[in-house]
Amino acid sequence: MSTSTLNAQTRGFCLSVAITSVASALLMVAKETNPGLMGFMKTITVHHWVSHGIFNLLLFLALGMLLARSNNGQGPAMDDDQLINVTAGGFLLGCAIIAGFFLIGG
Amino acid sequence: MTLAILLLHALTGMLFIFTAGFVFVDTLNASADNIERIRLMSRLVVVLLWLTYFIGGWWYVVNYAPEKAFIMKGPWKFAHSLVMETKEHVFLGLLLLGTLLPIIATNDIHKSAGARKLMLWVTTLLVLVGFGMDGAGAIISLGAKVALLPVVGG
Repeated sequence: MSTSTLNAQTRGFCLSVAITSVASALLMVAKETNPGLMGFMKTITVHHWVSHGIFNLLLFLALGMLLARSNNGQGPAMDDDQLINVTAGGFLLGCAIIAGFFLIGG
Repeated sequence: MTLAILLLHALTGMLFIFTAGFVFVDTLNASADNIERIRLMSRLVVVLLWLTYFIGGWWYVVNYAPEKAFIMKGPWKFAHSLVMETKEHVFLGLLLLGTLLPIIATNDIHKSAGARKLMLWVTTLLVLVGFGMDGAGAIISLGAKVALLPVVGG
């Protein structure tokens, strides 16, 4: 049973940021290690980084709206502290994957 | 003109950090009197953050290639291979994190301890990572500068 005091949109979009941050970092690793994927991302817009940004935005919006409507419209069943931990943790994990990849590979 | 665009990117970036810091302090003192200001300033954070992204992104896509080439020939290759690569990808996540602020501000910040705590965490991350972005920009600029300096006594 969720004991959150936050509204469904906040819970949905916070969880979306956590998931999208990690997914974005994994997409970065995938494109940097796979020339085929990098080439594809370069062809769909003017720059692979632009394609990456559009992918992130679409994933963030789609996940946020879906998650906000989950659980009978109440949003993810998490209490406030769990949501804060997941949001901050997901964002920082994404940053750590990105920095770690270029620190080791760069 | 291109350097002016780069300075504008740094300016809007610093204003975004300042505004996020303002929201942090206002949230510490959240009450019925300042809740609307918190909501307004949260929206301003998002506007400044997305402006920083579009201005910096335009410069990066259109003008960065020659600078990158200089950096990679100079002594500070890490300014691109580590710092710029990390900056450009971390920024994408920062953009979404900042976009959360007006959504969090739809809650009654002054009544919900959870909403206040979430707002404080998100604004703290925005300010700290924002300063990191600012420092990264300085390192990238220095990477280009040291690559262009004449070799003294060489």
